[in-house]
Amino acid sequence: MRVAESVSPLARDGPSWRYRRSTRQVLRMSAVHLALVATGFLFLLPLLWMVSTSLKSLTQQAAWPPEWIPQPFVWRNYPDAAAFLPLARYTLNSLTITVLFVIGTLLSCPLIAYAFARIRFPGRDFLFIVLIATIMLPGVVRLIPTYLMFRQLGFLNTYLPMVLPAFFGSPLFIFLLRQYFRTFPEELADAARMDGASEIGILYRIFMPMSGPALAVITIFAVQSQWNDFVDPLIYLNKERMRTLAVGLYYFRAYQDTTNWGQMMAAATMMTAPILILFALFQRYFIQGVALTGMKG
Amino acid sequence: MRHMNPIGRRQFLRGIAGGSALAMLAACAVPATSEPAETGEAPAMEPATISFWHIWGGVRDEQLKTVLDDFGAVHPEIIVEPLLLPNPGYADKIVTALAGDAPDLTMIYTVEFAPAAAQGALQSVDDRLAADDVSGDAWYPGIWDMTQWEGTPYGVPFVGNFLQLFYWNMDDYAAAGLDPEAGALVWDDLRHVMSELSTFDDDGNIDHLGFVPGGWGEWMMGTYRNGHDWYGDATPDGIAIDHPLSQEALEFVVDLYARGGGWDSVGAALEGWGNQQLGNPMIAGVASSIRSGIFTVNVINNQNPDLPYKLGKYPHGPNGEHLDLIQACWNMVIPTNAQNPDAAWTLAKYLSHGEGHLKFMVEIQGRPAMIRDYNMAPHDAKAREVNPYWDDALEVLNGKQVSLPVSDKLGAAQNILREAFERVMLEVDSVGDALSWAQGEVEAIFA
Amino acid sequence: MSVSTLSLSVWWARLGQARRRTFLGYLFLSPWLVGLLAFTLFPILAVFGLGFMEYGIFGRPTWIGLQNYRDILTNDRLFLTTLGNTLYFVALSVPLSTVIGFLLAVALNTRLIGQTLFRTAFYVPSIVPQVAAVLLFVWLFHPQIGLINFALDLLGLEGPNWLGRPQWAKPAIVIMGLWGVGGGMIIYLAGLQSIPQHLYEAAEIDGATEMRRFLMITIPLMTPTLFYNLIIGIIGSFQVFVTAYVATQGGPLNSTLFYVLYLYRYGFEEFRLGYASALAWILFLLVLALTVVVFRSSSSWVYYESGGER
Repeated sequence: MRVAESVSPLARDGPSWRYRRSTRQVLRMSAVHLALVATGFLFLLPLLWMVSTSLKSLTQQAAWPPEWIPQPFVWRNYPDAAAFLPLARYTLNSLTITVLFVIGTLLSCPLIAYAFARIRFPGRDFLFIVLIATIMLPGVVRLIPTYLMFRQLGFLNTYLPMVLPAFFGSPLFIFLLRQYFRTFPEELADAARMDGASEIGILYRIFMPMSGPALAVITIFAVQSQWNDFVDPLIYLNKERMRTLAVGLYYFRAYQDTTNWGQMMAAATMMTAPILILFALFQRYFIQGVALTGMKG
Repeated sequence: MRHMNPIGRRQFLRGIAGGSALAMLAACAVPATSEPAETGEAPAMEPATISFWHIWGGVRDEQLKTVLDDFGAVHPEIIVEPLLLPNPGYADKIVTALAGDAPDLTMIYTVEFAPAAAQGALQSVDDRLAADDVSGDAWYPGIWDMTQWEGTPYGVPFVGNFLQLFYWNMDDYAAAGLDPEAGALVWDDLRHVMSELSTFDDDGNIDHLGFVPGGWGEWMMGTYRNGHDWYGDATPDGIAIDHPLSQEALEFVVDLYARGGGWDSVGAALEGWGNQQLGNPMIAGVASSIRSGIFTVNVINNQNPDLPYKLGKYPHGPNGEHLDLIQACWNMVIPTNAQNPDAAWTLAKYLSHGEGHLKFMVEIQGRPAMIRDYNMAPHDAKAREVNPYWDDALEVLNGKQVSLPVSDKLGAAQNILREAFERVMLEVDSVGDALSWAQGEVEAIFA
Repeated sequence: MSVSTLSLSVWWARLGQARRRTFLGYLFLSPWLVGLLAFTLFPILAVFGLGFMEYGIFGRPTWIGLQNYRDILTNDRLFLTTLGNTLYFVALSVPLSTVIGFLLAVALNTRLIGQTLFRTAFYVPSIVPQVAAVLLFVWLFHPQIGLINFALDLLGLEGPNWLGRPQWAKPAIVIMGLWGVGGGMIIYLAGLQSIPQHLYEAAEIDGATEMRRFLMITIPLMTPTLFYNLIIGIIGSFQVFVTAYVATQGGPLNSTLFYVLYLYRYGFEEFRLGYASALAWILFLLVLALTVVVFRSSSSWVYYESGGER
């Protein structure tokens, strides 16, 4: 397994071979830097524009040519947006779903991943291929039957359709954890078994404490997926006080009598900020996680 | 019933718990004097919480809440949980809900109403109306037709998409040398207004719009006010989208847009006015005139009471007349899946032909009610205070009315018409090609 | 209670080690197995079955055989449009995001001052919640006062009415998607950094030019990663939904009516679940076929190291 190898190089700052420092090389590297600065700026511009707009008055939003610095700073857009729709309530709802989903994920995925990684039994390899196949299954195929099933179960207007599946494990997270568990030497589990440790004991006393980074990665993925999820809450929730932030933000446009981009961008900023803060705090795990999803099994 | 002391919810529950005959008492407490049907209330029933979905945001959300508060005072046993639906986004919410976790009472638009009724997702209100001794005659006929599916009423009218009037800014008219007292009675008047009152800056970008054209709806309105009926008897099979009168109407609308600088230019002038129900560009001074419903009087009173405006009949084409086209209705319906249909009916009645309707429509909004009687003395006193154009509105309302057929295919057909209109406006198709395409498609839909 | 516990432990003791492992393995897997049945296998079978039925808002589903499929293929005026739109989107967005993501990764994989900073700048847009990102782009694409048309204006170009013209709306939606290439870029970057350095050093000693090293070492060794991203990219792009749902509702003139949006309309705006299920099944087969083709082709272009644990 090459997961461990492929994670660690990320910490390195580029390849180690040395360039001949010819003038041509210096010039070329400057050009690369310059091009990257320009493109990087281009990528960040929309976000800056979002924040800038969120602090503008109606008149200034429509200014031509566009102005970058709000004059004056209209902080009111934020409380106004939060009053226009109960964004605090929506945030709480999104948070509830996210937390429950994460709990479900952390309860189910390690168990399943451990079985795939370290317990030998007939059928395991076949089931692992099934697991990989389900990662590739287009989700839309499931949309209608799943909706009908949850409706039949009386789960409409509850958070269960979003939360419940987490307790049965998400294929991608199981896959990532399994890959991580496989990097631990086989002898680790064997030795513990010799000492009479149960499989559960090995998982929770040995594997889990060693898997902080991998667990952080799937937690972050889980948080992201639920915080951003739009379609499920759209389909399953019909009560205003149950709406999530993603759906609420979408409705923002539907309810406004005149389009106030300042307020809308304020709402969008409020929805984006938690994810960006999370990223700032756990940057390493975000990057590692994404890198891991691309690794071949 | 209002003479009776309403039984409080807690008392009522205590009564049930104690096995007393309170419930029976309530059932027996039929008012001695029989009141007019539209204000009569049903016998008290079990306490219920009902969900009520509507599409009225902004000011009207607040207004509706006052009416619901009144309802709560009369019916303390019914707790109403209103939900404002997003628009757009209304259709998928309502349709999925009808199939699953349905509200007890909801507003529904004709396009969704017909398929829902056809599939059995709505409860017939025939028996309920009969039990309350209300007949369809209470409503304007065109509006009442919009509640029918195969001869049975599946709802009660709440708001009709009708009574389109022409609003104009008198100062703008005067400044452009037009007679501020004269609106626009025929298409040529409207063309003139659009040309004379639209202004452009030095770069050719639009500054101010003479008239706010309402997209493909203008074409629909124009067709009927040009003496033609798309789904009518004009052709053997009843569908005549590509009729010369319809084509004339479409060309008129194209010309109207051209005078405002074209599709994009008009769009730019109207930027941000997506939901004209809650405010409109004429009120904001961005445009000089607009076609809109009578409720706009109330919106102007709220948003810009000093606006120097006047209203009158909306212009018609050379072959038509001032008729009132009822395109669609927002009906109140009780879904088959409703948890508390009886309580829902109590609210439906209150809002559609009871006191709530009178208060919401006539007293608060100053616009005509769906019920004819409510627009007459003595009910109209307050409306006349709010709305100086009351008689003009009633004249249109009591004039010739045409309503589109209630059909579960209407939504699909109108999608085609809207697309045909867009094809012309985005210069993908010529008028002739778009119309013959639409003719074929709509024929196929109704076939 | 104690008796059954006792008999349980006796039974456990009698089981051989291999059987115990098997039992435990399936026990640990059981949540996933239940989930697999309930949330994957059942839905796939059900969507297949529903495709042969008429199932509206009310009443029971009724069997109508192949009628839905017949209607889709012969009677549905928008089926080909929506398929065309989706293929257009896939054909444009998958290669573009692959190339851009890969090139960015290659550029970032050189010796750079502030590499982390660059990496962050390119990555952050991909974690912005989708609805927020789409609303932001609707604002950026504003025909009159949007930032994008302002930039075009500075270049002396007249910006189009992006989301208001059939020929521009799809490219606009592709551009929205490209803002998120950072996710793919990180995957490529990880792949690039796991290429053993000695290969480059050996090639350099042999006098291979940089371009040659890129073509002969970087590209071949990156093919597995490219392959993986291609598959995931195709599957994801076929399901583009939120962008069009929020930004354009499928318009103008159905130019952004993508397959899943179309399916959603049938399913949740008209509640014709049988028809929508048939549509879903067709999409499933299409994606499956394309995936198989890509997998088949992979033997000719994806480089696998021989040996080593797979």
